[in-house]
Amino acid sequence: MVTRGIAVVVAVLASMSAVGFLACDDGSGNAVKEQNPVPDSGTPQPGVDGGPLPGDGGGPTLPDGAPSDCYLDPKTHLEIINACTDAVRITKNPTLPLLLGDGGLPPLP
Amino acid sequence: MGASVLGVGVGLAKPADAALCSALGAQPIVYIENGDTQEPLVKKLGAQLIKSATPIRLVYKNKRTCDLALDMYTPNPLVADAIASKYIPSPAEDPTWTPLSATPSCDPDPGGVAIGLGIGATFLSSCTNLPATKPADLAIANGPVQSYGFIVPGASSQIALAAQEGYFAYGFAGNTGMAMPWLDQALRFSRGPTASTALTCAAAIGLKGSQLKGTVPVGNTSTEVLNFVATSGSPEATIGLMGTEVYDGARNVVKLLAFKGFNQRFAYFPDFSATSFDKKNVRDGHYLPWAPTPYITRIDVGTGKAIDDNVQRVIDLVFGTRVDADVNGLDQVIASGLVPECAMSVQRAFDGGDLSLYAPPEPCACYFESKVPQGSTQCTKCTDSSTCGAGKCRRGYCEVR
Repeated sequence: MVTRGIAVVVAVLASMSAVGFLACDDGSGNAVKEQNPVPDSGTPQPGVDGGPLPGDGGGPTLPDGAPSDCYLDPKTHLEIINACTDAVRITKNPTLPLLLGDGGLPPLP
Repeated sequence: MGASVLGVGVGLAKPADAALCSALGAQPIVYIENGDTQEPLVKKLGAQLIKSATPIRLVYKNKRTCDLALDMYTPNPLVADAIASKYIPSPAEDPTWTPLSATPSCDPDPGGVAIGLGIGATFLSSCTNLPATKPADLAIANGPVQSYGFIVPGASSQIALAAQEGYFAYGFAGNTGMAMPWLDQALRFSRGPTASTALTCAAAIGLKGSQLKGTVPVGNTSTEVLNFVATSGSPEATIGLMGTEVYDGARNVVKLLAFKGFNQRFAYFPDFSATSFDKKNVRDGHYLPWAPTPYITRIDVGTGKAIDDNVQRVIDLVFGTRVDADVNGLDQVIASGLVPECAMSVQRAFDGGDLSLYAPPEPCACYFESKVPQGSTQCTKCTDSSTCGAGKCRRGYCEVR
């Protein structure tokens, strides 16, 4: 009986922990911030598709003109992968010492 | 953690007492070579086909995508070798068998048998071992979408991977990439460069399959990668590559990392959340490591149909262009964790390629959402299109067209 009671308490605590995790918002919609020991680098993302990232200057805006962190009517690759969604999203900006100064990737050794 | 749990077999040793596949029964046989990520679908579909009023027996061999594609191009026969040929048993042969059971083995005829169907699991343009020119009588059609991802042990604290992290973790030997916490190459599990899992995952992090600096298990199978990751004694440093349908059957032992692509602001799971199965982010373009599964077969160049009617039946069932009274291929595709083309709203032309919007001619997104595990849909149920406004009633739901 005691064991069962402990199990129930553990289950409740686990559920509360999960809720807390999902509710941990960074102020950008339903984004979940990863428990990451390294600070966000804020490094620009290199890649094949140029253009402003949502949330950066020159990115998408809401109907009232305020900047948005996602695209409401995606058309291009950049807009599709950063389209507005109600799905769980996670902030992940790791510190990577080998990134180039401009945020690009160095060639492989 | 065994093959029976995952529905994916290793098949490294040829059984000594296997019967000839051709002597198993009167049912016509379709011989298949498939990527091991496609084994759950082959088993599920095979279980229905062997019990069909017009039965077909599927005999299959798990093989890496580029290797099976070369077999189809050449063509090479399916032969008895170190990789087991497996067959779907009839109820008379094994009344207890289900798609979750281990699959028995048989031997191809001496000298080998013609492979009726190759089922790959990524773009064949990623394969560097194929001839430049495709034989005229070989048809390749893109089937359901297969998503992939990066898995870590359940005890790992990691929940997301940025493409740049993957580049440094898998692109640099040893710890020289300095991508914390994945600094130990022995604990970065991978697949060989002809496996679709390696090719598609590598493309998502800016690498080629041959550039992955990881540890390939001796059998080069998904099952081994899963087992090594799940049982690692150093969970924080451990990572591996995996097809998401294999992961879906092993969520109790490993975690799939959310993925953030190049030029993407956030990381996403393939599904709406870490606990759902709807592949929402694959279907709408938020989750990037995915590719279609190419169905490769020899055709009559006049009709464009497979030279073997039973092969054509299998293809039509999987693609949803045919539904038999006792075999629903589309349902088996969905139950296997794959995404049918009709449920996709984005497309791409090659591994790692940019996405563009896609409008399937006969959409099935509502039906798909209703059929996945824990599935539900906000779409309107219907019996005809009169209640669907501008949409159309398909498979019991109002789809957008």
